[in-house]
Amino acid sequence: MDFAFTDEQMALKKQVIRFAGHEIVPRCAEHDLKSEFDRKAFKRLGEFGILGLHFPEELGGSGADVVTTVLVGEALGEAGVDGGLALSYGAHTFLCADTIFAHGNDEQRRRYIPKLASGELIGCMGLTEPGAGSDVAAMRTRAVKKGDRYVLNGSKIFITNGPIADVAVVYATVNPAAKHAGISAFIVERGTKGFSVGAPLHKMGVRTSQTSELFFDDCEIPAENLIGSEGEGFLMAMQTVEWDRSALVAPFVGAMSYALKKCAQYASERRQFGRPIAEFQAVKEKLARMKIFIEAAKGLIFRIAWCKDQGRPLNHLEAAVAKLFIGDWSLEPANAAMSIMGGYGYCHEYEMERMFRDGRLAPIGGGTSEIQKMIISKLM
Amino acid sequence: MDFDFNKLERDLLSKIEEIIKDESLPNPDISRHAKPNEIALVLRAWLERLGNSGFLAEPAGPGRLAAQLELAHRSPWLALASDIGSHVLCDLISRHGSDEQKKAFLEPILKGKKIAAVAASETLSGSVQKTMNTIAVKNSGGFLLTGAKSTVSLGPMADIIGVLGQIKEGMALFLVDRGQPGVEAGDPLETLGYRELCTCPIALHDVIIEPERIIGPFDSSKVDLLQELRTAWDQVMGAVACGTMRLCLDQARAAADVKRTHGKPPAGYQSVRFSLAEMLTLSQTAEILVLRAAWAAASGDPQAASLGLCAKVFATKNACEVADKALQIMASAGYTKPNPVERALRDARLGTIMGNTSEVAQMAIADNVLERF
Repeated sequence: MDFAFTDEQMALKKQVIRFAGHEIVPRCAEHDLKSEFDRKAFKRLGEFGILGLHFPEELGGSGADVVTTVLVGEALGEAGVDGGLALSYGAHTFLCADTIFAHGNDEQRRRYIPKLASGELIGCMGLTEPGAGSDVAAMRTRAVKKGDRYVLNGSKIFITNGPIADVAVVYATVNPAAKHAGISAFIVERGTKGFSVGAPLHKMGVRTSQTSELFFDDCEIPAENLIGSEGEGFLMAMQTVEWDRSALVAPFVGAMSYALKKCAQYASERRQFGRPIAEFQAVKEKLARMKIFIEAAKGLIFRIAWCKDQGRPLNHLEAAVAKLFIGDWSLEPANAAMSIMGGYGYCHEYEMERMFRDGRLAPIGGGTSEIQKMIISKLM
Repeated sequence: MDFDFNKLERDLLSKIEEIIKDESLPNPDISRHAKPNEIALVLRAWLERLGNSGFLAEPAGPGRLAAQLELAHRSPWLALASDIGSHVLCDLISRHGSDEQKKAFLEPILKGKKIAAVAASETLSGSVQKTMNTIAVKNSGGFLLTGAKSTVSLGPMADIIGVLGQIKEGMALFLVDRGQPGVEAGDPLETLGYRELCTCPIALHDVIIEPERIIGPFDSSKVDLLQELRTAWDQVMGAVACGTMRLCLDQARAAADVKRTHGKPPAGYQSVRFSLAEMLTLSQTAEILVLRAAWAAASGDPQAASLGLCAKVFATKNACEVADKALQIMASAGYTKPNPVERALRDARLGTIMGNTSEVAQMAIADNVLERF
């Protein structure tokens, strides 16, 4: 066993923390307050190479492995980047772009990946429906082939980047009776007739990521926008789980490191009863609990990333364990962080309030903790 | 990065699996009515098996830890009892002993020929050096060691006891034969768990210690024997905690499939299934963390000390949690003796106390965090 990162990986992590700390973090609070997507920051992520990090160089990426990609996600959180921007990046790169890259044909890759990698285009994924969340087989959005076109009808909900996306990977069933086997994936571009998006939803956290419904009303798309073959969509959606349990949750782990740093600094400066509160055991214990969570979570996400690098099929049990742990066991240290900061933690200007709200998504997004427990108990 | 075991690590794991395969490992309940000498017989037989295989002499690291974890999965008591000598005491001897001392004392323990114990805690000092009252004074043939140790695991059955005490120049490790005149092991204490360790007080009355049986003394600003001892205990307790979690999961899973309530097994109820899922999550998370900590310690990672403490706190705390959940699933069957989960729940409680207590460890983790930022 060897848990070391390479020198190059660690150097890149430092670079990302420095870059994000200087160029992105100072902008986060204002955008969060206004619930605005930070298009400039997103574009800078593309220019820095983060949006397309794991894609091949000929498609505008850097050819990084999965471990490095996850490490960069962790670095964004550790730098203090808000959960909303990190989520937008995750939905864009791993749920949209990677699906096109991994399952699309050469033409689709050439057409979309370089622009998605640079941030010129913004991507989203439409899977969840009002009546079909984790129960994907209950999907009602239909795709009917008519000649050289598909006609989509239905709606999607809770779609990250929905209001701002130029390209959507949309899942719809071509054969409802076939359940999972009928689900297929399509590329739908903004502006396509019959495709519209709802107003951004007001959310508790991750506010800088824009979330909305997607509507398909006799939305016609060219047949060549089908990704892979009909009926392969369910497997494609499942493969995004590998990213979801590693790269998409990595910023949450990184954010806890940022919170730990901020809490430690605050506790050293804040004096009560004639001494820094860092000298009180009750405060130290909270710092320790945060640190223990971080170290425990890291092992889980990098295990999934490393296995993906080895080309191994996703171990759904391990993936669910990672998601469940980071979702449910992060709440207590997040609460501890808030307590250390006291009244300041509760106020928007001190970041902790935002991080607390952003972190609450972890046990919900990408499959709730309850779904993870169902998966684990079924597989164990 | 490599999450797989390498060949050497796999071989070691296979070795331990081979030893414990199809064997009747020490019955979890052997001590209910057993006396220390009867327990010692069982322990000696197993130490010899483990020693002959070379397992006890394996260096620390992820492979050794994984093998120890697997042993603890089958018998937490045996894993702990074997590690007291081969890991905790032998670590100190190999790090600080002379070549002659290593030759004389390491081999019998690592070959499984001798049972070893470590005596550090005292009634009034716990494991705090400056208040430690076990003192050695020089006499013509060496030193005379006097003091009282409050809780010495394997005390009544140990052949050799590593006693921590003070000489004028600093703390030292005294390698004492239990049969030496002046060494008096008390009756085993009534303990919540790990009763087969027969933890007892040991009194030392002018025990003659020859110079070749003394490691040290050390200037505590340079070598902190007590801290090294606690670190070794932490690694041991982390591995044993993980093995305990596996054991509890096995038992709870089996019970959840069999026992019937209102016409269906407990596993038919979502709350039971979710409880099992939480147990597995804690177990897997703890295992990766203790393996990473073992790797960090073996590879000299600068964050090894802090990571080791995180692993110990997380694994030992959650071993209690997992054992408790297992017992809840087993209900009255888990609450009655003899059964491995009732015992595991009691045994697991030692983990948060032994070595660095959870509280001490958390303070050290926080100090490290505060230093970094």
